[in-house]
Amino acid sequence: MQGLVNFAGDIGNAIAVFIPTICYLMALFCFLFAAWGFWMQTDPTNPFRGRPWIPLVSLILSGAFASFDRVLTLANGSAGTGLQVSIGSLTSYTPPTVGTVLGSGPGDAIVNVVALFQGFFQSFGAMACLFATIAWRGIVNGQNNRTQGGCFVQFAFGVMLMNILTVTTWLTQIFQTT
Amino acid sequence: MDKPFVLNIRKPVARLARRAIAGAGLAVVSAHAAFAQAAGGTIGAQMQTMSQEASTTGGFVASTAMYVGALITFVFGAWALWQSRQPENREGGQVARGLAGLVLCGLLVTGGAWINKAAQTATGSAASISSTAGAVSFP
Repeated sequence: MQGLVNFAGDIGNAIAVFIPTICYLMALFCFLFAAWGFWMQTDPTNPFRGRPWIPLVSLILSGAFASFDRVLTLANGSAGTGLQVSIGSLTSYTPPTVGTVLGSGPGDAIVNVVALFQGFFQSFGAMACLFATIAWRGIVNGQNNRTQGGCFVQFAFGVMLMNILTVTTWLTQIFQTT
Repeated sequence: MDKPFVLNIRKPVARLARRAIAGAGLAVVSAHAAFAQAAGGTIGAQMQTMSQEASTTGGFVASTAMYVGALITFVFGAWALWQSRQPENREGGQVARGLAGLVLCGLLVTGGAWINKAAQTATGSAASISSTAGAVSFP
């Protein structure tokens, strides 16, 4: 059990490090794309003819990627949990220690197990939100065939994963008879 | 008929080149292995090294692209304004193109500040992600 927790935690740590880097690169790419898009507005071969909002959306998204932790915090606020997300410096990662997970009942056991894997779930949820945003940008630009509703659902489930402990506690309380 | 001399030396040279490339590849692989150990020997630790490298590379590439883009938009913008004043030039839109070029030159020169402004617009706070690799934390 401890080995699995260590492995999942380390993968979660890798994802947590991976997200700011992707956000940084996407912010730079979106800004350059927006500048190129604005320049092409003056060109007869403008690929965004009739869709002048595409470079503008990219410019705003460059800011959203540059402060993506704030986007996640706002999303958590909308979800009602108020979980604060921040970008910290690189540090060594220590996985949680597996103790007694059984608790006083099955509901407690589920919550305790989820708490052990919370680092992985939260990082994975943040990554789901990031890729939902990237996919939405592709939809606006006409680069993929996904639906905007699908991206919204992906983003919502990402927020739920970031708040996995709250969701699990809520679910176990629903199914408890006492 | 004897083969030309060039063909005779080409094979050894190619073999040497292949060995050199293979050697360089092995050197790169061993350097990465050493890096992984230095980083702590875990996937998460190695991801920290890779993320810093990617951020540094992306920052340099984007800075170069902004610099070159600013030069291009400035030169073409000035050229478009010049062309707009030539009586033999009947192509429309040169003034708009010139103005767009000069404005975009300023946009590209101050790219970081504009990303920061976009962050204020999108989320109401300053940009928190920089070229220094970091990690998302959920306190």
